[in-house]
Amino acid sequence: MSILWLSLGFGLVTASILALSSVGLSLQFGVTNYINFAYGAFLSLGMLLTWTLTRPLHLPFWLGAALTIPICGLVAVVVDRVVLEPFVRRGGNLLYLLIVTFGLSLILDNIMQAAWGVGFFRFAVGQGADLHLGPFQFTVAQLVIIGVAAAVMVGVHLLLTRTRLGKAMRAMSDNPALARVSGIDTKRVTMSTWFLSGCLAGAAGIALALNIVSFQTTSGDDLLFVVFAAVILGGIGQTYGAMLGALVIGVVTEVSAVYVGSAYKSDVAFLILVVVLLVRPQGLIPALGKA
Amino acid sequence: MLLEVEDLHVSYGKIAALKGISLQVGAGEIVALIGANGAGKTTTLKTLSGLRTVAAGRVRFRGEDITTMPGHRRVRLGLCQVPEGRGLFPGMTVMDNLAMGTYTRGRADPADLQRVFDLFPRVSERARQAAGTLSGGEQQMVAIGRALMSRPELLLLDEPSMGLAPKLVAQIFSIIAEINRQGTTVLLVEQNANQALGLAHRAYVLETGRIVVTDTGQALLGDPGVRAAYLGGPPPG
Repeated sequence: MSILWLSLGFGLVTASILALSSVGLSLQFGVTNYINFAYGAFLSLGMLLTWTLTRPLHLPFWLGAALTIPICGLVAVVVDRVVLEPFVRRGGNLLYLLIVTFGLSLILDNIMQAAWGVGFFRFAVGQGADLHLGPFQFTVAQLVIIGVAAAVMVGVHLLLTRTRLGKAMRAMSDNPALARVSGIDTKRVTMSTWFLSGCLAGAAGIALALNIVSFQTTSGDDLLFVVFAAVILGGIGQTYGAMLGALVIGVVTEVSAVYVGSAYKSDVAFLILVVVLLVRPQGLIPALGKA
Repeated sequence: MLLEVEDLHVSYGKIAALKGISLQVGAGEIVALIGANGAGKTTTLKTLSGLRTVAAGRVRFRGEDITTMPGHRRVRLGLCQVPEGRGLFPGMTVMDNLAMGTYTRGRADPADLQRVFDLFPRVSERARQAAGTLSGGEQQMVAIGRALMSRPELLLLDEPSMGLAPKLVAQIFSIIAEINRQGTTVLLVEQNANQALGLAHRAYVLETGRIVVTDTGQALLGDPGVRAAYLGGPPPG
């Protein structure tokens, strides 16, 4: 029984990492309406920047992480403006954009590999002591990950429901043409969304690196398809759906690892996805506006 | 003149959609733009609201040249479009949809909301529902309501009768007349030429990107050429 509680705890940690990353991907998809295959590279960038700031540059870990997150956001904005936006302006064929982001992911991966090398990295901070909470057992790092993810989800919820930017993002995701004739500066909202998406990817990357302890320049990509599974499971472009999808995929994959072995975690994630989509092709939370 | 369009050209790639359109809308008028599918009616409205870039020509609104002004800034000047089809945010509640009408001004004024609810009592009953779950007629009411929340000087309506039952069409058109009586100028694009000409003070007939006839709504209703082309034959009797 205790192994089940333990894996349920791991599931919550994985769900937290997936929630951070899938919400970032989902927000961007909702607003711009195309899938960003280069998203995994932003997770890796988060890990590697934090590593550089805290290991060779000796900043305290919290400061390195706090600097990394907005840098990832800015890089995402630059990538959007320089690489993706010109394609969108030229008519935005979704298939072209898919291929462009795929190519971008290869380019970014190779740039990171050239800059940081092919070895394994680890942060100076460890996992911290084991703490027992009821039947659960978490390390300090894992509790921080869960806490940060929960706080960020509340923050995203408040952003979407209480702020002008959030309303504009929801409006663009629902009906882009109407958003423009409603007086929304769609360019500014798109840039803000990319910034937010980059920040969330950076934060998710740091959380992932803390959890897997040792990482490399491709570690973000390794998680990407599980992130896709969470996003699609929730209903593409649906932010709350992405949170729910992350929770389901995170918990089920970790608990299943007890029974079928941890090597099959991703397989389980996609098995869930296939089964759910057979029953509910629109995802757990269907979008009213999206085709 | 509230709106002056001068020799407007718009193209999609190499295909010219508007080949030099000139029209005027005076304050307080209802002006209709009728024509067949593909004549350029929707393109004209999209260009006026800033969704299409102009190849040549000029658009002036309240005396200001807005030809190259970004769409989101035109709303502030009092130019508001209700797009064709579902002109609303289907995933948001009816209330949030109406609130989006005041996006450029900040908070919604309770008086504006009351005005929309007075015009469309059905809308107030559905206030908490997601707009996408409403019937076609109710959706059109929310779409027009959203536009009214922005206090437009000029309301651009793109096919408000599309997909609605005849009874609802009559209702929507009488509400458009009421909105106009309350002081809002209306530029109306319609396939339903009979209804549109009956309502409009003046109208323009578009054919493949050019304006071919313009006159008062009543005169066009009696025009044999217009009747044959757009109103289904000669007048009865």
